[in-house]
Amino acid sequence: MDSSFTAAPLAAILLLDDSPAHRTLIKRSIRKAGVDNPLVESATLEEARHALFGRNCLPIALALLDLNLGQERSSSLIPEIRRSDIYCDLPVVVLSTSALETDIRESYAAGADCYMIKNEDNAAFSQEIAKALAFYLQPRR
Amino acid sequence: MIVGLCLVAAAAFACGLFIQSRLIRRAIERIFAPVNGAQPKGKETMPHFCPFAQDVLDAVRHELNRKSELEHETAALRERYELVSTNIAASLLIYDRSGKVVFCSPYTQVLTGYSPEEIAAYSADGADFLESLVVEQDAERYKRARQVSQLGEDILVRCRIRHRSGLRLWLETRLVPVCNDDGEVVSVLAVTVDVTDTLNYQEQIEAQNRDLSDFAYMVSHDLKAPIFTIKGMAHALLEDHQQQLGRDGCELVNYIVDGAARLERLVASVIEYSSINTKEWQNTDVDLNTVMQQVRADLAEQVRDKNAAVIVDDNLPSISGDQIRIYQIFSNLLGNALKYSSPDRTPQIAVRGKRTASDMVVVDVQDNGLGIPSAKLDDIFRPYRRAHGNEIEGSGIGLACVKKIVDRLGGTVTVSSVEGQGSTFSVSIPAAQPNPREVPADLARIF
Repeated sequence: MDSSFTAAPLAAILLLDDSPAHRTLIKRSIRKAGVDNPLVESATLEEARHALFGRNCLPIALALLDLNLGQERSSSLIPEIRRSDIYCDLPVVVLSTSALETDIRESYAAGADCYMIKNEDNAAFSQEIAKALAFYLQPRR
Repeated sequence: MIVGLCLVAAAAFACGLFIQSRLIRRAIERIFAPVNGAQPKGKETMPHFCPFAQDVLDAVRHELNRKSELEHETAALRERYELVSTNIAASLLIYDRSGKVVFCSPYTQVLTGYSPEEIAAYSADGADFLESLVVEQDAERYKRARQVSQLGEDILVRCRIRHRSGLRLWLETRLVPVCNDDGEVVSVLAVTVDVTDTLNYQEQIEAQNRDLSDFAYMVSHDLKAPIFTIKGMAHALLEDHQQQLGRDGCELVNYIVDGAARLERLVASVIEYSSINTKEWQNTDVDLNTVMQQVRADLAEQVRDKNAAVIVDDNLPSISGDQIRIYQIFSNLLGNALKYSSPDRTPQIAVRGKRTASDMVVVDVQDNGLGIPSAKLDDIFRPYRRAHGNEIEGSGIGLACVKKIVDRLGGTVTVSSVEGQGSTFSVSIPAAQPNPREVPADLARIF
């Protein structure tokens, strides 16, 4: 299987967050940024795996993962993504309210491309999301 | 006739002898009279058989009296010394030049489990007895202290030892070198006390403080998620549902936004305060000039906005500590000077620093701002005690952070202020200095 792919305008964005409120707010920010890609929402690691590797699922172009999923950490999913054939180059952005250095290091060590802190006010956060999406969704060679 | 003459001469001689011996006896009695000030009687009646006899006898008597006095004094001192050294709840060890133990107080046995005889035997060839008991982690520290004392310096050292029974104790030893007129160390006195209880208590307190600090830190980070929700949803309502809310509804939602903002600032301040100790300190020599440059650069925007004049001494001394924390001290102090400036005049902020004779660095941050009401001066370094709470936005944690960092650096921070005129914050911190305890290489080899 090809390890690199061109992100088509209709490729999906995976949004993993255990809080429905946060998913709603992030969705809003994504839409405000003018990004129309379909969003695949998941609340647990299992749902996220299903969305990535399950049958009949949309090809994912970008993964937005909340670090702290209650009992789980999304950092444990990132190595799986990197080991896979299809998604070894998948852009992974870790979102978190935490600014703890340990969390940041943990995410980068696991293979994240970017770490974004969720506690900006919405305007700034939207801008940051817009920039990240623009960057990671651009066609790759 | 000749026989008669001889007899008379002999009798006269014998009388003479007798008289002299009586004289001598009386003289001796007077000389050895009790030293309680009793005047020898009949001094005037002592026959002079030699012109200087009186003076010689007086001098001898005086010296013998003094000798007796000194002997009594010495005996009394010795008694007192025995009393003290036998009963003092501290170990007293005296080492001679070669490191041999020449005196060991009885309490040493209580502290170490070894008798003075065993100790003397162990150290007969100059081996340091206490050193043999010190635990591995503290061995280096104890050795260095001994080396320093051999150079003639008084030094205090704390280390753990293993008592004969196996128990671990914290001991605090004061090493007092005794020097001769040439300044050479001829012996060292080691006074050692048990500080186990104190240190255990201290450790407990520190552990509890760390617990609380960590707790505050973790809780604050966990609070960020719900704050994000509240803030985000309130803004979303205002942005997308203004029509449905109407003016009244929007006003209510604005209160939610304000409340969330305050909550966020509170959480940020708790994180700032508790992370002073939860994040590791990296101690180096910190050049205050570099720190002030950084602070000025970071506050450049506020300085411009307020049109403030900031003057900083260009030859500030260095202090020892964590660079980031030291930056925080001055960032807070200068930030406050700008924040609490008076609207009636151009803010003027001066930073002066000097090194004092007692190896402290004193830095003054002076402003011509609002000043602090005298009623609030006592509380100003406590968390969330604000002098100008309502008019000016602030977390109330800045000065508390300054105090916490300065305290940890072993310094003090004070303020003098006149309401309506301005304030001067004065920070006093131990100066950075090269380690004075470096042992010269040849000495290190000997000891």
